[in-house]
Amino acid sequence: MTPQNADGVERELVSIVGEANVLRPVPETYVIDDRRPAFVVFPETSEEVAALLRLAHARELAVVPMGSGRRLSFGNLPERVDILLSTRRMNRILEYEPADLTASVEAGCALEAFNRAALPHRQWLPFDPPDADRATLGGIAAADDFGPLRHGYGRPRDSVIGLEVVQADGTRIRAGGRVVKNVTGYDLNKLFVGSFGTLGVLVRVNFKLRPSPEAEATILFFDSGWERLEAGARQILQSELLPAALVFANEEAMSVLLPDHPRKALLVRFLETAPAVVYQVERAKALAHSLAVELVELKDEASRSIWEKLGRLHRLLPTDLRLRLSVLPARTVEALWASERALGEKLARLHILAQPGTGIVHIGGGLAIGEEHILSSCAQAILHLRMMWAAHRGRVIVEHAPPEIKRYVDVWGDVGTSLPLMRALKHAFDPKRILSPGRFVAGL
Amino acid sequence: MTSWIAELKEIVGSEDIITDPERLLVYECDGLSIHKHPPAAVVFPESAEEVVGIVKVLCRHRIPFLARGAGTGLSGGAVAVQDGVILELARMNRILEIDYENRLAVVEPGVINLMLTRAVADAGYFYAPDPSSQMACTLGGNVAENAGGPHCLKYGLTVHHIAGLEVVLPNGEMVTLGGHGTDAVGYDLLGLFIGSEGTFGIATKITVRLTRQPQAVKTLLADFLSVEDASRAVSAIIAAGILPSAMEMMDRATIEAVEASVYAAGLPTDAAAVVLIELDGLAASVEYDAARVFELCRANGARCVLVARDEVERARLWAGRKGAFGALGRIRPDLMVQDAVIPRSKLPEVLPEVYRIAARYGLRMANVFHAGDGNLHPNICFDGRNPDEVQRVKEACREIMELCVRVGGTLTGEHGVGLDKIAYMPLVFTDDDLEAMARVRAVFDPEGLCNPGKVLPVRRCRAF
Repeated sequence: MTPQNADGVERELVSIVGEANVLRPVPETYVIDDRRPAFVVFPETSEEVAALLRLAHARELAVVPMGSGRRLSFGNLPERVDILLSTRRMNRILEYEPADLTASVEAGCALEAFNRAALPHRQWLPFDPPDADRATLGGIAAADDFGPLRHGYGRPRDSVIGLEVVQADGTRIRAGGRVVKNVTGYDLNKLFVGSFGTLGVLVRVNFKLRPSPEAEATILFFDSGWERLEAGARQILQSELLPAALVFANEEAMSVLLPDHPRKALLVRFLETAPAVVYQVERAKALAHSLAVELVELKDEASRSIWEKLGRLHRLLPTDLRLRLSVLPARTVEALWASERALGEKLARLHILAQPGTGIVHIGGGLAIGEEHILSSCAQAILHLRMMWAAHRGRVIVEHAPPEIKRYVDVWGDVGTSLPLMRALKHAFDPKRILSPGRFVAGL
Repeated sequence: MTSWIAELKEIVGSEDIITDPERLLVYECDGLSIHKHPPAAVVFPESAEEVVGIVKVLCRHRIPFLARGAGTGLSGGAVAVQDGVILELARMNRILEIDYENRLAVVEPGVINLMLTRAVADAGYFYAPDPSSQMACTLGGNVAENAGGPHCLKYGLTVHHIAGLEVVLPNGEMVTLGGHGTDAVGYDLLGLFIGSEGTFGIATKITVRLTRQPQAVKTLLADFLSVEDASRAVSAIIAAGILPSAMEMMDRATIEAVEASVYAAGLPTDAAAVVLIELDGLAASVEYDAARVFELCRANGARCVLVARDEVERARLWAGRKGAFGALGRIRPDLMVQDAVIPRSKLPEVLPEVYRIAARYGLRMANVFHAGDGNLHPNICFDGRNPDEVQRVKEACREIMELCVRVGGTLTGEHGVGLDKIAYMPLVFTDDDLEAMARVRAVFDPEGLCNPGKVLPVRRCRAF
């Protein structure tokens, strides 16, 4: 966009969303990698979103949709960013019928606000993505963003039952519906959930809810090596126990999560009826005893609080680089070792969180940016890790990195044989490539 | 001999293709006998390579085709409406790999649903989706339809239990969808493919997730003197925050049919409705929730709540439920098995209205359905040889669909659109919604050869 036509665009943006909902000049917090959007807009209705996209489509302006912006660094370097479209001011709960265990919300509705409203009905959305305290439900759906609770409750993808989407040309469509079981037509929910705003802008999301657990407890096993902790996780996973989440945390992570216990740990979270939590805690204690590992039990608020902290770990420790590995669950500890070996000497205060139930491993740390070759050697390490794990169906995604690393490394990695289908879908839904161009897989 | 038939014979051998019109009659319909049309031929591939070869030949000759498993579908999805060729996948029925450590199994599409659960039972696992036809239906068919079943109240549909697919696209190319145990990157094509009713391609290899058997299971049967009371009990259980693994309702007409059949389970024939409730999980939770369910049923007018004492009693109660369709099938020559979904809290309001609609058309209806997720199965017993009756069945079905949509529900919860529900699609979706679906279909099948005539209505000379 040239400065000349920027003025014209600004007038049109103001006429759509009003003076108070157009931000210009754009502050530092909204810079994506090394690109500063020309405008940040905050529409208040789906009609305004549709009008914004009609404008962007007509003038071929690049639009990056976002919720709170907590995941803005997740993606390849953007080709262009003209308008950053935040759904934050579309934050109402539109329908909530506790007897149906379903709800319909505007995309900018905060996860925390929703769960507060559902609490009196003893229901909740069991999502715990990173920075859950800032997350919007539209953002969670667009990124299919999950945390350790994925083990017990599945991904957000499994809870989305309906969507309203504004397409690239401004036409609005609905997918799914408001019922929990639905095979009417193609399931376009699956197409849009996890598409990172590259196929349309989510303006409304319908979810199925869960009864909230009656009781909660977290058991931590501590040891100096991973072997016995791994054995503990395996025995739990193969037993009758039903943990909601299991996470290995290294010393660095534990030094923040539970400063009195800066050792390697396995955290196991139980969310169940009161008698079932008591039963599982007893079983876990017996297991710790038989493995001869140290044990700590956290109840209720203490349990909730350690998991909430775990979701903010990358804010509590230096995190210039953060990777997510997805491997077969049985190889979780192997992947943890491998990523530690690959990056241990390059990252400061390297912290690892690994989920043996799902095979998800998060590794992060600080970068001594000034140091010579540090960025290129990190990029090399990522590519090496990716190559090593490809042989075992493993994936390595770069969730957060400085632009210098993104120039070397595609943050998503290889897509495989289905890439032509994905290209064709992108073309079918966004032929002018105005929605987050360049940021998704293979630079779509 | 037509050249494409000769080419197909070269691929599968002359024994493994049927073109004789009389033998083709077996393949003229699926489990919903109201829609009939014989295919031009049926081929029996035995490997993914043969499927690729067959699809390429048919593509070159521009002949429509579709895959078929056991033919137990209930929406006319496996009917070759445009004189197409059926690829019958029943012979691709091997379990290729079981990986307990990662809770995965790799199977061919012709493997029967229940056979997989039996194969992993001794190790303490099961495959969760359990459609009522699970003794016959294939996993490939389950993937195509995103099949459900009684236990999907707690465990979810097929889409929640598939980790990856190997797919032959409608142009004969083979692609991998999903990560087969790890997270794939990019658009969720796996989720999109599951439930596409055979219109996006043919799955030739399926990686499924296995689930650990629960520590405890408890099955209760509550009987009620009115359908409204039974519906209220179901809503009360959901509202209390209890998530049973299944919550199934059978009305009096169904109970009578079951008790008069080989599936007789000792159900009370004087009840207006019974609700079969199953709880599973940790023994401590199951005991605790069973007591709450018992109280909630009593508080909502249950005359009696039975608890199955052992595995034999439990199996008998379930045999009555799973045999209900078979038992209903004995009443009249034909059975229209319907499928619709409503928000669960609307059950007490919608069910009586559904009976009134059937009565208005002078039809005999029985309801047996997944009450816990609001998935209705109003079944109409009729005689397909009587054109007037068939017309009344169709009109009643339309009214039922309109009613369900009006209260915020939808057309199908697990049987699919197929041929049967195409006409109702505009009740739920706008032209723009349908056009977006058509765009996705055109990405997978630009030539429109893969199971044409299903799912989306045709308007203004183009398929949506």
